[in-house]
Amino acid sequence: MSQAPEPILQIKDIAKIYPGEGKSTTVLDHISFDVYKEFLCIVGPSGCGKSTLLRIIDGLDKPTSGQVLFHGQPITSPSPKVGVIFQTFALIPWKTVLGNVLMAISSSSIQKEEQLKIAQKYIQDVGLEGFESSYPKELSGGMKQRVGIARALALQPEVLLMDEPFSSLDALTAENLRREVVDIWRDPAYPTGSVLMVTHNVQEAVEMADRVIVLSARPAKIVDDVKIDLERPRSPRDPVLYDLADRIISKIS
Amino acid sequence: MIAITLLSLSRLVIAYVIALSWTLGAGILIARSQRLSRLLVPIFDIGQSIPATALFPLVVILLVYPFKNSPYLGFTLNLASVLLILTGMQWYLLFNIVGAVNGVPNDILEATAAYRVRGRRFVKEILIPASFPAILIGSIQAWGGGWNALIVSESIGANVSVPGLGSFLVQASSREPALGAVEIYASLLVMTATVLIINRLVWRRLLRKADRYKFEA
Repeated sequence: MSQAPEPILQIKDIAKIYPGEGKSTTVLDHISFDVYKEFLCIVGPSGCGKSTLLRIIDGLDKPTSGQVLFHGQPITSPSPKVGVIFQTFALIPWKTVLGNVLMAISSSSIQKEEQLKIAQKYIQDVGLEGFESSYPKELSGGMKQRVGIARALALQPEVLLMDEPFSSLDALTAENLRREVVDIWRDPAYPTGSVLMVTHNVQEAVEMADRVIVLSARPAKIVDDVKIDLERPRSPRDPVLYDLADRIISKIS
Repeated sequence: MIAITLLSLSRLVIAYVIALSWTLGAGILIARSQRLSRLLVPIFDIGQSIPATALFPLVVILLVYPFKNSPYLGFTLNLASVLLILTGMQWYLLFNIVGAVNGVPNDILEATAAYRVRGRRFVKEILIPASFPAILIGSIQAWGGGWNALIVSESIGANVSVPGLGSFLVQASSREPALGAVEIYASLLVMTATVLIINRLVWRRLLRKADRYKFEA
C-alpha cells in the first residue's frame, strides 16, 4: 500500500469574524482543506470571503480562529516560499519592470548580481524582454500582469497564490495568460508545485484546475470539492468543461 | 539688496529643512501607527490652528528680552526668526504628508507585505516616493507661508531686527511715504522675482517628475 502524500498546505478550521457594533459579521465559517502538489481553484460568489481566505493563507491577515500550516509549520507572516499575484497587479508606479520584479527578491540573502540575473530570466520567461526599463504606466493590462507573474516567479516559490489574476484583463489577453500560467506551472523547470487560485469565474476554474473548492455565499462554507480529471492541455471550449461549470454554478446559486 | 535677500533666503531654507525633516518623520509615524496618530493628531491640530504671528510675543519673551544686552542677541534673533518661519511652514507639509502616506492603496501595501519589504526599506522605497507629489504641493504652500512669516519675523522692533528683506520692508514702510516708497517697491520687486525664480527652477521642474509617483486610479 502506498502512503498518502504529505499536504503542502493545511488550512485548518479557519474562521474570520469581523466584530461590529452589536452584531458581528462572519466571513469565513470554519474552512478546512489540504493543498497538495496541484492546481487548486477556490470559487464562490463575489464578496464571499475568498480573497480574505487567500490573504490569511499568505499570512497577510489573521484568522479569528484556526491556522494555516505550510509543511506542518504555522504561517503567521508572508513566507519567501510563497508568491502572490494580485487582481490589480499591485505594481509600484515609480519602479521599472526590472525594479518591480527585483522588489520580490531583494529581501533575500541572494547576492545582488544573482538577483539581477534571476529577475531578468523571469522577465524573459513571461515575454517582457526589452521592457526591463519601462514603467508600469507604459504597459497594457496584460503586460502589467506579466510583470506581476514574473515578480511572483522570481521568488522561485513553492506555492503560488493568485487572487482573481485575470479578472481585470480583456477576454483574449486573459485566455492567453491562463494558458501560459498553466504551462509554466506544468514545466518541471519551475519549482512551483502548488497553485492556489481564487476566482469568481467558474469556467476559468474548471479549465485550469485539478480540483475546485466551491464556497457558499457569506458566511463562506465549503459546499463542494470537485476533482477535474481532464487531460492537459485543455481547450477552454471543451463541452465537458461547460457541463462541469454548470454543475458547480448550480451549487453556488 | 542681494545680501539681505540671501540672508532672508537662508533663513527660509533652514526653516524649510527643519520643517521637512520633522514632518516627514512625524507624518510617517502618524500614518503607520494608530496609537501615535490618536496621541499626536489632536496636538498638531491645535498647533496648526495657531497662526505663526500669534507666537510672536512668546518668541520675544523667550528669545529676545533675556538676551537684550547679551553678545548672543544676534544669534537668538536669527533663531527667533527661523522659528517663526518654521511655524508658518510646517503644517502644510505635515498634513500633506499624512494624507499621502494614508493614501497608499491597499493592494500596494499588501504586495509590499507579501514580498516582505519592511522597515527602513518600506519607508525608503514605498512611503517616501509615495509622498513625493504631496511633499511638493506641501512645499509650495509652505514657502508661501514662509515668506509670509518672514516679513514679520525679521523685525521685532526698530532697533531689534536682523538684516533681511522682511526687516528692510518693515523699516521702509515705517518711514515718510516719500522717502520709503522707492525702497518698498524695490524690495517687493526683489521678493516677487525671488519667488518666481524659485518656482521656475525648483518646483516646476520637480512637479514634472511627480507624475511618476502617483498611483493609477
